[in-house]
Amino acid sequence: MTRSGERRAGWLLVAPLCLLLLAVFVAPVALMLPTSFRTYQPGLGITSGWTAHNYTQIVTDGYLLEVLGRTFVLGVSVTAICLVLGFPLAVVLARASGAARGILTLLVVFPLTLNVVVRSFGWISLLSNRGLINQALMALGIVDVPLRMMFNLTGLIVGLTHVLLPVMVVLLAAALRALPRDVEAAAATLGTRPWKTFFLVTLPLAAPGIFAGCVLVFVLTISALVTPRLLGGPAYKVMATAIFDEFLSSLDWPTGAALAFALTLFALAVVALAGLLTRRWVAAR
Amino acid sequence: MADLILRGLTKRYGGQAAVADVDLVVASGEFVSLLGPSGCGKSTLLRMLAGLVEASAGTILLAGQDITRLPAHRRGLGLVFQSYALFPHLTVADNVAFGLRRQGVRGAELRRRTEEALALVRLDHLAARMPRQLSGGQQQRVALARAVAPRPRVLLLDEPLSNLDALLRDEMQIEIKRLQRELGTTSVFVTHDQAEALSMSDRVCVLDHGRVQQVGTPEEVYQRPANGFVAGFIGRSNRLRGRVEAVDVAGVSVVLDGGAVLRSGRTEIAPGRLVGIVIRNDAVRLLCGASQGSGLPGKIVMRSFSGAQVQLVVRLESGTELVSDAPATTAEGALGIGTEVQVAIAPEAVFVTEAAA
Amino acid sequence: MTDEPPSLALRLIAALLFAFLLLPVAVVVLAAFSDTAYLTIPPQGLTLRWFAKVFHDPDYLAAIVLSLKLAAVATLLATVLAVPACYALHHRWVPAGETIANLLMSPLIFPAVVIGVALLQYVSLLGIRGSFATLVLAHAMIVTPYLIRTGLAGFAGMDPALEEAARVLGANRFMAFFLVVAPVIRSSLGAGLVFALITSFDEVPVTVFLLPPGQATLPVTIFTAIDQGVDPSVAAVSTLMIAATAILLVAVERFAGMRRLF
Repeated sequence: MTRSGERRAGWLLVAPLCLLLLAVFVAPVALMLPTSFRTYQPGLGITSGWTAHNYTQIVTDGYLLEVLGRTFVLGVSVTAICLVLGFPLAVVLARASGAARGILTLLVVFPLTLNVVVRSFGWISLLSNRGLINQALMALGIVDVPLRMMFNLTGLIVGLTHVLLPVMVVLLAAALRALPRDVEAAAATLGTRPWKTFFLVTLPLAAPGIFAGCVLVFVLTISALVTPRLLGGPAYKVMATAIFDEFLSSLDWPTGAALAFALTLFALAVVALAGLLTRRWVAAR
Repeated sequence: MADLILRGLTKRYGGQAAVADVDLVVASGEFVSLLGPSGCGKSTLLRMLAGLVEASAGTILLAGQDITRLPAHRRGLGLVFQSYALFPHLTVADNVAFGLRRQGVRGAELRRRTEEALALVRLDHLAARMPRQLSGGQQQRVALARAVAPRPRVLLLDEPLSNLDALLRDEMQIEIKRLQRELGTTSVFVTHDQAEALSMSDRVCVLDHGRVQQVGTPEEVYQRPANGFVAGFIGRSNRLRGRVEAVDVAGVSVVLDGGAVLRSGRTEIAPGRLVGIVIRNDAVRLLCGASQGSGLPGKIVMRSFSGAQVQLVVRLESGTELVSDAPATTAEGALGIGTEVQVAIAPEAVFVTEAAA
Repeated sequence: MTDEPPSLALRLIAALLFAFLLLPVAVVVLAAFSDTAYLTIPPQGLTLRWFAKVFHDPDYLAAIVLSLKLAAVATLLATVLAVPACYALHHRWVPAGETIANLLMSPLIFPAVVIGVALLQYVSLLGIRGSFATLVLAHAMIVTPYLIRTGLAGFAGMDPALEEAARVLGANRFMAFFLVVAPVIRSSLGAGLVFALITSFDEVPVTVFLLPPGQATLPVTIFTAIDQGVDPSVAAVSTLMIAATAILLVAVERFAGMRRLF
């Protein structure tokens, strides 16, 4: 085929998928933008007339600020915990080879593929006031009243850590596996002790990969809907569940839309900033 | 079987020409090698013939038909790859039958021709195996059978022996040549190994930087290289630096670094210019004792014996060292270290090219 | 990273973490077999009656059928669209291939709930709220990134000479793809397909906004059931999902190897 023939064929092959994305992804999101600048009046529906109130209230309204802050704290906590817990697991996975590697990967990936609803259900059975953990603690006499682990930040952190830990592990393991093989051995022959090797050699080399893992986990955490809804209940909201309720319960689509764009812009900004930082990092080496 | 004619065939990538204005005629039934160093464009040229790369300019005529713009699957050619490219999910027999099936051959006829092709390469007993169960040499033979089974008008081979070890390579060279003779298929063979090209081909086409340097029989290309590149690429050579001293009707005198003077054939280079000089090792003759002639005096300083050949290093009085190859059975081959000799080189064997400063 | 086997301490920590990861799963499975309405350890009696309840419940059965139908059709559609696109991208038939690939995978970093609400408004405006077709298109869009990623990886891992050999032997690009390319990359494609199916089946944040009234997919049914108070049949149907997922994953590992995805 000629060069121009190839190009024509190429566009023909790529076009249907692009059209799908345009129709079902780009267009709906673009159409929601004007809605975020309108007002909703109960009983009357969405009025005509533009306002920026929906956006400004995110930073002026006490309740929304609380939701925003809670979402951010959730994101940072889950990311940090996943990083600390995920690292040992990632090291084991990165060093495994052959059959062990297959089995370990399977064990890590399996929770990833499980439905979030099912996983949250499991945690409810564990964390609720009549759940397994409280039953055990009370039976052992460690507490007299059940520990409140649901409908609060604790429950959300536990549930989301469980969901995102495999993601962190997989990304960290990939970053560690990509390290040049003999760097640590070389450091050892030069007399460096294992812990020092870890901090001075392994960590800096794996830093970009670790950073990427953290960014993804953070973005996924602040976007999560199902786990916060099930473990936090209808009253204890984060951004995603707030959007859910505005659209389905209060029917205040304009507010919901504004919240949605705020969340999206924040997530995209984090990803973009991370990309910029990583590129500068790598270039500086 | 068909004539293959290439006219002005060119391939440009960006501003660079990987293949530049190649003219070549391959007669029906002929075995021609495209020979050159890595990056000289020989593989690109072959892939243009196959239809895998689009030509920027020029034409390809096959039996009188212009196939330049014809897609690869309609050219009716055969191609043997360096990596064999056997279909891993098909048996040996199904691999060989692939081209036949595309031609619409079915049933008993298909079975017969598949067996025929496998018998040609003496692998009919492995028809039910999978490619991964075969050795490298066997895989290459299956690739060969697969390429010739549909009776292509031209057989193209892209460095098919480069992945094989030396012993296997020698065997396969004979195998391929025998097959080609038996079938009488016009063949174009790409290689960077000049010994391979010389031993297998009816004619050799030497390429460098996308351009044809010389086309001729192996004897012609070896004994009468058209320019310095061909002289240096084929056989083993001495490469020296010097300056043109004087020009006359018969040729030029070139003075080497160190002072020795050589005579060369006619050239366009003006006196005083710096030149690179290429002299084939087997053009450096050493005269000793009774057969004294006029030559450059020197002494043998190193000798290495490699079976059929002996390599002698001679240091001239001027300090320049020249390497000479001679058959072990001749008087020259028997000379030992320390012998005083006269070095004689025919002017036609001294190739002079202008050098960058 | 060294090849040294990890220390005992490291392996112990890893074991504990694996236990943490599998804890809620174990709890759900136990609850499904437990005779009481809420879970105790040790469970007071084992029974299969919750599973029987699931198989006799018309809502659960309808949800399973809807989820399966949706996953199958959406994945099929996405595959038919994505594989040719990957082919064109891999052969560099379009300029800025990497940018296009990234754009096609962009739904991955978008908060799913935002896509969900945007689609809700969209289909309401168009008057097609609650149609199966909308669900299919939305799911196809969601699983596309996974298919693009595994598709491109699959093509990249194949020896290009194979396709060329098929073409020179007389197969046009179409035949060459079906006869040679697809069989050679079938493990990558298969793994991507399975992942797409699982992703579609499990999808909640977008699906919940697009369902027709009175109908629900399985995960959404469980979602609303939990909201309204649990009975162990929820655990039973969840156990069925866990089992199905496990079987699929083992199949992918055996036929393709998990390493292809990570």
